[in-house]
Amino acid sequence: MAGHSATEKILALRSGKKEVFPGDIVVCDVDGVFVHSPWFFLSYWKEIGGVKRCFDPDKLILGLGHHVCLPADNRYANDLLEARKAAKKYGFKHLYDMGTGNGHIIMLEKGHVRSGYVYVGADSHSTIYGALGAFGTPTSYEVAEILLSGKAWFKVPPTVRVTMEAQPMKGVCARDVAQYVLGTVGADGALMKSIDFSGSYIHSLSVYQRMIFSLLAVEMGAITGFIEPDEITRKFMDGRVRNPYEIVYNDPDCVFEKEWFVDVSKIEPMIACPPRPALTERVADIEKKDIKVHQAYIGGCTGSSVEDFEMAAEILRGRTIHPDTRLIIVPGTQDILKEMQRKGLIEFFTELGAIISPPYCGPCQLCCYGHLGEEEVMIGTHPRNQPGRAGVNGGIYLASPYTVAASAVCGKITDPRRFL
Amino acid sequence: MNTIIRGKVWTFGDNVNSESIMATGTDFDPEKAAKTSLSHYDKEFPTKVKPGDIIVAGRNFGCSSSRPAARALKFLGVAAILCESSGAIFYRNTWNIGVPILECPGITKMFSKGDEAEVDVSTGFIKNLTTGSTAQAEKPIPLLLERWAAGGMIEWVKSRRDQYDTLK
Repeated sequence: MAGHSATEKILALRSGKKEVFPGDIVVCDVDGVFVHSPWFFLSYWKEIGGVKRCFDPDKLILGLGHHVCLPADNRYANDLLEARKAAKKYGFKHLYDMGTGNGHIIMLEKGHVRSGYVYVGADSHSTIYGALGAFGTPTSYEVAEILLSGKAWFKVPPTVRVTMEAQPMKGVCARDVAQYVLGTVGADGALMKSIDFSGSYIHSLSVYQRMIFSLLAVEMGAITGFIEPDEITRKFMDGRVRNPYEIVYNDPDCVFEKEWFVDVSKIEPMIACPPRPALTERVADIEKKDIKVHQAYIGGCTGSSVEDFEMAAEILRGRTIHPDTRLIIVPGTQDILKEMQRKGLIEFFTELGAIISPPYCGPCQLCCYGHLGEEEVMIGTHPRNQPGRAGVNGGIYLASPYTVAASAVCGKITDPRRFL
Repeated sequence: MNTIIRGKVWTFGDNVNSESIMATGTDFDPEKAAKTSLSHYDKEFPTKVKPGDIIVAGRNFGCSSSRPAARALKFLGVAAILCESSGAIFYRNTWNIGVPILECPGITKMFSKGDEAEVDVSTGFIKNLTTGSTAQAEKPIPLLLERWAAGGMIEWVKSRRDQYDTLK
């Protein structure tokens, strides 16, 4: 009998079962719930009526500062007011308000996620918790019920695996590798599965860079994006998490439903073309189309870490932003902003004439600012470019900080290797 | 409980994202979302869809954002969704909202826009009443059927209020 995947083992541990198999229905204790827009679950609670409290006010994390750094209209300001009142009423312990930044990154940075436990979120990128070897999945509408019961049901998913070896060439980074993987696996290549990222490459990355893979797992259809913890994971969690973590590994004889093997050294700068994140091309090919960019955005859950801004600075040093392009810099969190400040990156981008925003998730979805005019094109390090998000005709391209920076210099989509 | 649904079919392709079912800015307003729902893929849909109609779609229906997009479809009266496969979050959300969604590989070859479909939600048995062909969808799990029978997640919670120590 083959061994179990880490996902199966975590779901067994948290549902009190000796072992579980793909297809089993389990009900797990939930160790944390992330919500950025509590007005949804609060309205469902109103419909249910008689809500005394949530299952554990220490396990709900409210990232009010995720979609907006400040409200851009009165309706949003009033929604935030209601959220703060509810937090006081129900005693929610963790409220990250205006300017605190991207909620997905905060969940990890502030120690709300630990290896071996189960997390849910009212946002699709709740697959990110897998970057710390936890089981994390989006449950959206259902969060209202999970907050009352403290438990969530799952159909145990089969696990598929992507193994990445070697190191990338100059000008290629984790975002490119993740985009390549997304293009290879496809928009539904991991549908309803747990996707496991392994290999020497992923274990050479910082938690900030490896989280890109867990985040993009949802764009592959996966319900979670798991990375086996290592020393880097432990070092990240130590000093942050409030309770002990439990490292869970895939059994050595575990059989994955499907496997992909990637030689990272062969990957070139990659780009996602509109209208889908999985529409993957080489930047070198798209560059030939001479696509002008009006807005270049470095930020978002997949591109707002200190390392991302350092990569952009590498390209921009000694150069200028194209006069027809706006370069927007959105640090992921306050901790990231402070580190950027210490490293002189804020001064650097200010001198350059970039537009520096307070931390939040940025113009990935237009909840705040950064709207585009008709026919304008944006290139960004964020994860999504579908119709109905930003509602533009020009199109949204997704790429690495190197590529976005190079495109900001030339005013059009540009292969960053020209500058390195 | 009668678990058989009959209705007129609307067809859609692969990778229809949730944002196109419920556009950003309409998340909290199913009535507003309904006005443009799926119009990116079928301009007629928002104005011509009738309560009781059934959606037949390709792979990965409802993918991308985790917003409760099916609230727009419920507002329009869509009675069921039959698809080759569904986005994982959309699947959970849609059952919880009270709209049955069943996965059936090959379903898109079986239906044309305007056909009459019949589905037994509890067994997953599907029939094209216009052509006579049949198919077997994956049978929904008891947990989801229970919530659907109650009228969706909120009604289900209300019906078992005494099981929660967090509720009066």
